This record gives sequence, structure tokens and C-alpha cells, in this order.
Amino acid sequence: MAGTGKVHMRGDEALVTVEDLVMEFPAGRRAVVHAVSGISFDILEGETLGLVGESGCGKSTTGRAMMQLPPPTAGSVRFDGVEMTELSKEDLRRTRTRMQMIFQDPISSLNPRRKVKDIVAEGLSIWHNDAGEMAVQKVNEVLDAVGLDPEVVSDRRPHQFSGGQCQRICIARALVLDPKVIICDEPVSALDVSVQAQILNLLEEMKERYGLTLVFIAHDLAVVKNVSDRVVVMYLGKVCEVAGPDTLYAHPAHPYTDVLLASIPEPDPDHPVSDRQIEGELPSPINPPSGCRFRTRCEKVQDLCSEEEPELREIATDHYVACHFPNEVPVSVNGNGSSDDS
Amino acid sequence: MAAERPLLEVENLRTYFDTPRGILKAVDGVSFTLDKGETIGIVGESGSGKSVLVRSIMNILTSNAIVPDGSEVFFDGKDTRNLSRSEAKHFWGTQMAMIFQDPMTSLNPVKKVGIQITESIRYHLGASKQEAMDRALELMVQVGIPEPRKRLKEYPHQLSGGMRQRVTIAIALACNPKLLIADEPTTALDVTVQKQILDLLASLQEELGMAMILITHDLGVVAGRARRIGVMYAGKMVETADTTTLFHHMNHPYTEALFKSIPRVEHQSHTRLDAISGRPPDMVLDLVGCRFAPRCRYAQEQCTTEEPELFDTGQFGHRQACFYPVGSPENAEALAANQATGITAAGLDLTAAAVS
Repeated sequence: MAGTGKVHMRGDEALVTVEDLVMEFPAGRRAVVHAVSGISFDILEGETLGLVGESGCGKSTTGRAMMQLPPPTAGSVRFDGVEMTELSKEDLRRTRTRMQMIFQDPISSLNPRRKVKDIVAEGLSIWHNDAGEMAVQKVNEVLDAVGLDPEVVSDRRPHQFSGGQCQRICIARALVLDPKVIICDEPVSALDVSVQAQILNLLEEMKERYGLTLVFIAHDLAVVKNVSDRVVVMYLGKVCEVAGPDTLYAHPAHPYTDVLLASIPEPDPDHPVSDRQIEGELPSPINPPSGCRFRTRCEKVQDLCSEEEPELREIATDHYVACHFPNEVPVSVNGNGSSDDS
Repeated sequence: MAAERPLLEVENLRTYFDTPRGILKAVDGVSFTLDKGETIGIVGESGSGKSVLVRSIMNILTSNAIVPDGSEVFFDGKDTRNLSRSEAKHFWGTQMAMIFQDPMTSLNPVKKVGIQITESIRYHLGASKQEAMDRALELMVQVGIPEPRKRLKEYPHQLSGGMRQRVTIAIALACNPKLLIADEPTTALDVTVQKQILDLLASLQEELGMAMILITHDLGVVAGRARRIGVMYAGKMVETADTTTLFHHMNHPYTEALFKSIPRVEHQSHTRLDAISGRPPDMVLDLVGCRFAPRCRYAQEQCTTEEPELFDTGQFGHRQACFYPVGSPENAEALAANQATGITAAGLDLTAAAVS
């Protein structure tokens, strides 16, 4: 199967490298859901990679496939030099301690019957038999780091907390084993705007404090832009565009990125509501369109789009697009406007 | 004929709930009016009482709700609070209709979409089965559902989230209500679908001349959609103004804080967001002073002892409830005084506030 191209890959320096990832699920009667169809990307150490796209574009599946939850149908996931797809069950378990996940709904991802201290300490008690004073200290440290007072929260249960606080507990739980990578799957979509800001700030702080590498999955480009160093725009299991967040916003090259940007509600009454709207529905991933998968909803569609699948190509410095007829962008864009160690 | 009377008048509406922990004052004295065909946006965090407010207006509260005397809701000149059960049944749907946040739970999973849309048409308008189906088909087209004939025979789980929300809109519009209440209609949806739904609501509203109450926690959603905005905090309306005035002359520190917490695409990535520290108050407690004071950067002594009332600033019907409105010299003084000591009169540590 044709991938979406690899020109945007940065070689050996990457901490995580995902290549030609394919994820298919049986849908009965020999039908197959093509959730992710051959995508590649890499993440440098200390970087935040944003994965954006609508529901059903395969972004969560990609995040889970990186954790081998479940293992991908095809393709490779290399983490810190180790090929995750070839690990034995035991080695995989061990490797996963260094790659953690945070989910969308913080309340349902916490066991309602357990106390906060036990939820957060679970990873420790599994991996370190000497759990005791040390574990308590570590749990208190991470709870404190995420802005919860250990004395107050330790003996409470999840239902006694608001959504934002539960998300803090989830972050603490992810941090307790000192992971290198945290995959955040829509961590703020279920939260109010005001709480969303708290959690986004917290993630940035934790990234700095613990030297984390983040994968940030979301459907809101404004949110992704705020936290990411590099953004991958996905549509129906394929990569559309890869660029730095500021470049992407200033010069979206793919028509889909354009529409995503136009959909963000602007908190400014003088800013006219854009008349650009994405037409129709996401096509079925069981029977995706031929050629470019976005063509059925694209306003620039030509004959070529149904015949040939566009591959990612570099159209400007560190700006890659998979489209036959991308928007014009200035060739020399001066960087992403952000660096990892700022 | 009181032709100029607003479509909806809400006067000092209070809704309390009798809970095991005590009386929870979910809505505590809210007043506003809505003209025919107008859209008002009501903005606030979870728990600010905005959903309870509209449920009180529609009179669909749970049995442990208490609405104290003096609360008034007039719809089209009629007091909705005194409707009998049978009157209310015909009132809902034909006069006022509501769409909810989660289209999956507001639709019946075991009934076909067509049955759910025709139900109210047959009940309220006494239409025959065929007439109702024709009307349903018309509605499906109106709300932009492709292949409407086929969709009518499908179940909710066969539709995407956006399509389901379109179906709930079709149900709400079935009997041409005068007022449509949309309670966070797009919160569960993707940004692209959110835009489709908001555009759809705006065009339907224009076409049908309905009034609309649009509830959301995102100021961005109402900015381009509502003519007026009311900001709610802890059961109170803290600021109301027409949309342009509100965005250009934000008076209440809470409105300002809500606005600043939105990540903006124009900003460079990794721009630190101004989150609102802390949480809304527990509304079972007796609250003294301004309810936002514990989270407010400008809080002074007066804010902790005296409750500010919503008053008219005298400019374009702009009303707000703050002693130290943003943009005033008093406000600048208050902030300077708080920054000098590093702590507000309500005990908010300004140095820590910068951290989370």
C-alpha cells in the first residue's frame, strides 16, 4: 500500500520514529476499516508533536498504535532505538513504563473505587517491590507537581474532584514512573476553556520540569498550536501536512488545513465568521476514496486527485504537504518561531 | 396588544435545589429579556448555573428544585411558571424547544430517526402519519442531512455526531417554535462540525425568525453568533452587553479572565495562557461578597464583604457587577495595590497565580 511519503523524516536523531504505520480493523463480512493507512513521522527528544484532525481521522488510533495498544497491522514504531513491534510481551511491558498515556475523559479513566494515592502509586507498586516510604514520597512529589495538595487529595476518590482536577490526577499517574514520552489523547477536549488553559500550562511546565517528549492529539488547531513544536495534520488515515505550528497557521498549504483553521471560532466580533465550511461528511474508512482521500470534500479537486495519491513533498523549509494543488506559500519561511530549549 | 413587549422576560429568577448537603443556589437572581428573533449568548464555566437557568425558563426542573417567590418568567406575556401540566406539554415544542449538548443521549437509541422527528409533529399538530413523514423529510433537508429519505429509516447509532445533532435540531424545529434554546449544542463536536452546526443554526434562525438562547463555555462560539451576551458566574449574571461592546469594553474581571484563557491561533506557539486560578465556589455555602473575589486579581477589601449588584453603566445598555471594573482607574489602582503586596484582599497569591 502506498504510504504518504517520508521526506519530512529527520533520521536517526529522533527519539520516536513511526514508519508506514498501518492500522486496520475487521468490520465483518470481510470488510476492513482502514483507520490508519501508512503514515510516518518522527519526534525529537524534548519536542511536542501535535496530531490534528477530525474525529475518525485515525489520530487516536495512531497514538495507541505507538503504545502497541493494539499492535499495528503493519509498519514500525522505534522508540529510543528499540523496535516496539518486535518486543516480547515482557519487554513491551517494561518499555511502556517509559511511554505513558493521558486520555480524553479524565473521570472515566480513573477507577472510581480507589483512592487517589493508590491510583497514582499503582505503576510504582507494580514495578518496584520496595514500595513503601519511597513510593509515598514519589507520589506526593508528582501530586504536588501537578498542583494538588497531597495531604488533602491522597485519601479522596475521583468522584470528589472536578474534571480539571481529575485530569491533573491522570497526569500525576502518567508522571510517576518518570516516562520519557507521554501521549496525550485529546487531554483537554472534555474541559471548559478556563480549565483547559490550566491543563495546557501544566503540561508545558511538566514537560520542562521532567524533560518530557509529548505527543499531543487534538481536533482543535488553536490548542495544538499553543503546545506544539511540530504539527502533523491528518485526514482519514493519511498525513496531509507537516510543519511548524506558526508556519502552518500563517501559510496553510493543504486545503484541509485551510478549512480546519477557518473553523476555529474567533473570540472577536469584528472578525467576520468565515464563510468557508467543510462540505459533507467524512467518507467511510471502510471504502476510502481513491487517490487523495480529501478529494470528495475539497474545493480545489481536479481529475488528477482521484487518479493519483499525492505524496508528502517539501514546499518550503521544513514545510511538507501531500496535495497536488497546494496553496502558494513563500519558499523561505523563517523557521517555526520556537525551539525546544526555549 | 403589547406588541413591543419582549418575547421573553426573566425577572429575578432564582432556582435552588434541596440537596443532602443543604440548599444549593444554582441560579440566584438572574434577570434578562429577549426580543423576537434575537440571539442571546450565555457564557460561563461548568457549574455557573447556565443550564439550570434555561431549564427553569422551560420549566423542566427536577422535583427537588425550589423556585422561590418573586422569580418571574414571562414568555410572550404569559407566566410559564403557572402552566398546568397539560398546558406545558403543548407549550414545549410549539413555543419553546431545546437542543442539548450530547446528541447521543438526547435521542432514543431504539427508535428510528423518522419516528423521533414525527412524534412531536403528530402530537402537537395532529398531522397524519404521511403528512408528518413529509414534514420530517422537509426538515431533514432543511438541516442539511444528505440522503434524507434513507436516514429517516436509520437509528441514531448509524449517524455521526454531527448528523445526530442535526436530527435533534430537526426535532426541535418540527413545530416552528418561537424560541430555540441551544444548551452547549457543539461542545461534544469537532471544530469543523461545530462550525457547520453553528452556521446551520444561524441560517435557520434567520429563515424562521426564531429567537435563540445559545449557551456555551467558549466566548469564541458566541462572538460571531449572538447579538447580546450575558456572562454568568456562580449563579449570577455578572456582565451583559451587546456583543461588540462586551468584547471592546470588558468590564468584569471574570469576563476578561475567560477571554484571556482562550488559546488564540494568532499567538506564537508556546504562548503561556492566562488560566483562571482556583475553582468556582461551592454554592451550598452562604457566599459573602463578590463570588469571583477569591479568584480575582483585582480583589479589594470591599469585594470580600459586600456583594456587587448588576448595574447599568449607562453605555449601550451595558450592565456589569464589579466595584473595580476592568479599564477603570480604580481597577488599575486595585491591581497595583495587590501587586505591591503580592496578595489580594481575598487571599489570592498573585505570585502563585502566575504558576497555575
